[in-house]
Amino acid sequence: METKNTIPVTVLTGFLGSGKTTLLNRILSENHGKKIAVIENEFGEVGVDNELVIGADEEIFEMNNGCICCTVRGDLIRILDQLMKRKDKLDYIIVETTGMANPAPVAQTFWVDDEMRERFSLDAIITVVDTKHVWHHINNSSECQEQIAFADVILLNKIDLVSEQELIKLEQKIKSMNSQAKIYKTKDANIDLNNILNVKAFDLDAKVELNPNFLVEEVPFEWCGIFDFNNEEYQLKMDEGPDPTIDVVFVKLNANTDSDIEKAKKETVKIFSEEYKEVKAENFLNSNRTHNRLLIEDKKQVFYFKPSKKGFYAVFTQHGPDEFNMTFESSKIKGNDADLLIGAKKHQSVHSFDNLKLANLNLATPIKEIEYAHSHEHDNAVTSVGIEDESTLSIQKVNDWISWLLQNKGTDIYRMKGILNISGNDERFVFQGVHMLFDAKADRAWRADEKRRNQLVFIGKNLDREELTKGFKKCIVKNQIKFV
Amino acid sequence: MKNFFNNSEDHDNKEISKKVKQWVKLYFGLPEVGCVVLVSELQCADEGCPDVETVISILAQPEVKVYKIGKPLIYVRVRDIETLSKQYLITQASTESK
Repeated sequence: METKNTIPVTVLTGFLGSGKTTLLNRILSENHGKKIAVIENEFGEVGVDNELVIGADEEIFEMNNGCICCTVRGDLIRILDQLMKRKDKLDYIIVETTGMANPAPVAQTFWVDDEMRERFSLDAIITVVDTKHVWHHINNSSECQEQIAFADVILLNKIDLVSEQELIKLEQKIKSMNSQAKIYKTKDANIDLNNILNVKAFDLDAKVELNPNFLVEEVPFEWCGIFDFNNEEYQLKMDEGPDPTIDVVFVKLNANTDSDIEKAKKETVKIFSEEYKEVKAENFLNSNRTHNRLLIEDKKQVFYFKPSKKGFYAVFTQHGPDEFNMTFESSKIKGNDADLLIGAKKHQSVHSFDNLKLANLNLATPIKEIEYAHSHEHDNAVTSVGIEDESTLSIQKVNDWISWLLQNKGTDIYRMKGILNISGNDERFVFQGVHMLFDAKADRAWRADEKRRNQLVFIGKNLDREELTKGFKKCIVKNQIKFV
Repeated sequence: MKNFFNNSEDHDNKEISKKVKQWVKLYFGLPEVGCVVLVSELQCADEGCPDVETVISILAQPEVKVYKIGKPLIYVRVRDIETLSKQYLITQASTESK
């Protein structure tokens, strides 16, 4: 997006009571010497002398019948057109949306027309979150999810009203939905304005870098257990769960240390995006670095595995063990133990294995359990999907793939962003999109000291990690698949 | 299919976009003030739609009118706008006569 001589525009979203108006007043009352126009849909208590506050009636129109990807804000276009005719030049525009607004039509307004792009540059979407009350909406309000998913910057506001543990849980949840947004924790929306204004989040001419932890923060698994397995046969038992399958990956650890577990976690994120191996009940799964997809067709399903070496293993599962009544045990004890296990499970809360130890069975209980934010949900959840890979891509194939994605998945992909390593080019290619609107260009040259790699992030609902990964892999030149 | 990674078309598109706006204002008889025209290029996934089409939105008061031309912006010519405007003017006339 062009930025030369354009007026930057910040879109401010957040539910009613989240602290949007407090933030807005903070921006306006700061001694920055800039002429700021505020376009707001709901009149709050904004009103600072010498600032221009314009009320707007949300007028959304569709350029393509029924498609959210092609909706823009007519009222905004009219107001911006009027603002351009003023004699005094504006330095900045802030658009405050209603609490229940989907940010997409506002963002798209600045992309759909060349003249709009020449005059204005969408700087960033800022979402203010009420940390105390957001849990009432985050799982069931599409507007709340969209506001988080579209954001470049998220202010976790009112942190004085929640415990540190609640804050960590919320941060994890938000990162699983949007791995790219910068998150700041604030009280009374008190934030350094440099963090929210002139962010240049949509500017492909600015330094395009993805959050280096983007793969780790949107993990596709919910649970990890650290086990000390022997070189013998084990059984993984489970009942039917919310899905007909569950993905499981075992990684042998060198040691039971936090750094080793972290390394295994990163590796597993990549293994989860590789081809899976379907495993039916009563069969053996692979107990080291393989993407196993277990088919759960009935109750009391048993899968076998035999670690090749004794030692510590990290077992990552797509869902929490409680959802499938999952247990690990040595095959040494046979007979009616399965029934005893189920009985023992019934008397305990969720998936703590502690009580099972009391059952005095030959259970393999985890030494340590780690829960991850529920990035994988069972319905139309908003998630991030990241791809990182060092292969070289065909520009034509990438173009075909992106074109297909925009046409067929544009409604579900809220935002996408990436850096590409294109065959025959010494320059990075950068891109980003909002729904079906897409912008790409050749960026700076790859530095001699940096690894050429592709990094892509998709944020949206119903995102299919496998499908996206498969589509990406089809763009690789010479069929070389080399995951980092 | 649109070439997303070739920006050389962008400049041409900007020029033709400006021209299309001028043609629309002229042929549709739109006022200079109080009426905004947007010109966009969209990829439509609907069956029967071309891969890339040009969408012209006229933000008149009190309503917005949206017109589509089934080809990329760079191929839009003055006669396309003239054809659209004839439809528009006929509709306007029949509305006014009612």
